[in-house]
Amino acid sequence: MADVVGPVRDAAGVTVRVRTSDPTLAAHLDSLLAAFPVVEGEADIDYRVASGDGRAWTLFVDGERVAARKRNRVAELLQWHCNRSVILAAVRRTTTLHAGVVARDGRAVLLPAPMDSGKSTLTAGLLRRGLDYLTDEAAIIVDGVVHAYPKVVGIDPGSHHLFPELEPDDDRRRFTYAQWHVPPAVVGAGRVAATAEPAVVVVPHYTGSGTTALSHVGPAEAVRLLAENTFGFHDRPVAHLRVHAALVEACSVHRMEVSDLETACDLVLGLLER
Amino acid sequence: MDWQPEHDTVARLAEPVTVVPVEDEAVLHHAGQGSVHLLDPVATVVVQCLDGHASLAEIAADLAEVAGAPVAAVLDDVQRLVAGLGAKGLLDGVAGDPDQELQRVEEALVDGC
Repeated sequence: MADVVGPVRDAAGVTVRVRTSDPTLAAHLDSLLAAFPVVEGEADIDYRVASGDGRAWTLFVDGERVAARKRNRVAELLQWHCNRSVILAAVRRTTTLHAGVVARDGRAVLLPAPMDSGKSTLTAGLLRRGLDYLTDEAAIIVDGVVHAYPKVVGIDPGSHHLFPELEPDDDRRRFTYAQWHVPPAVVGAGRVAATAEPAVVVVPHYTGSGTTALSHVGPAEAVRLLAENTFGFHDRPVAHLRVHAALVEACSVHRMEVSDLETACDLVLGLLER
Repeated sequence: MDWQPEHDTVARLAEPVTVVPVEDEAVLHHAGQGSVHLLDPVATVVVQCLDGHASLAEIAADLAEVAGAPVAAVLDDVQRLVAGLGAKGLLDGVAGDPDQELQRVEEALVDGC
């Protein structure tokens, strides 16, 4: 069977195209990339997902085999490779934070945090409140402006109960392993914004119990928190610190202990209204 | 920290250290160590005065005059701050507590034997 060839899409400066022989899988993979605009020209990265014996699916990148996975994990593998490629390209030319970003009226809320801090969950919660989406993974800062990397929103198993409406249907479940990959529009995002001006930084830390509360962070400590959540910080530390300092001067910066998602969303929206 | 540098100590930031101001605070980055250090507003002002020419006593006198604070108290704060920065290898002219330095040398010698 001939490959189904998807369009070339611009994933935050890296153009990608996906081809696979399975039309259902092709449609699913394209839905994962749908928030990236379609562009003309050749792709920087040519993904091909091929079925061998029908059980294992192999991901090829520019003709080279990367790895094989079962059907329900091959989308996750492609997503991981795409994330890695976009972030590696971005850190060479920008300050790129490990952060979720949502926005309202062009004013961005940055949510920098390490893995398992509740960053993506809080991002999804704010999208459900109608905010615009930029990313749940990588905030690319260029000339003081946040640029989007609008990958699908990742909902980890520990947060599935908070988003029952996003549970994959049978078609999507065939391609789902642990994390749900949900297009931002399905989560409820107002729109996918290409850029936004930094206005608020909230560093979430999921506690699971206790009070959900904000605490203001002083400027030097805020710079340190941003440095801790910057991809490739030690490659160009002083340049990154200067970007962080400018961000801190443009934003109010807070830590947030999170035990209740809806309260956390209320608090972030309150900061945006100030 | 009990040890303090002398009043006539002259210090400046070490060559690999860069100051990044942020509002009224600052962040120091030591390129050799790859370390980041935070300065509060008072420490930021003191570090700006560490120019390799003025002694700690002269710096304290100037700051005390501006702040309207007792010179002795300001000098004590400046000495403590400089001792801390020196111990972290962030200054030329102040290496930290000489007793601790001697202890580190002795430990290194023992480890090397």
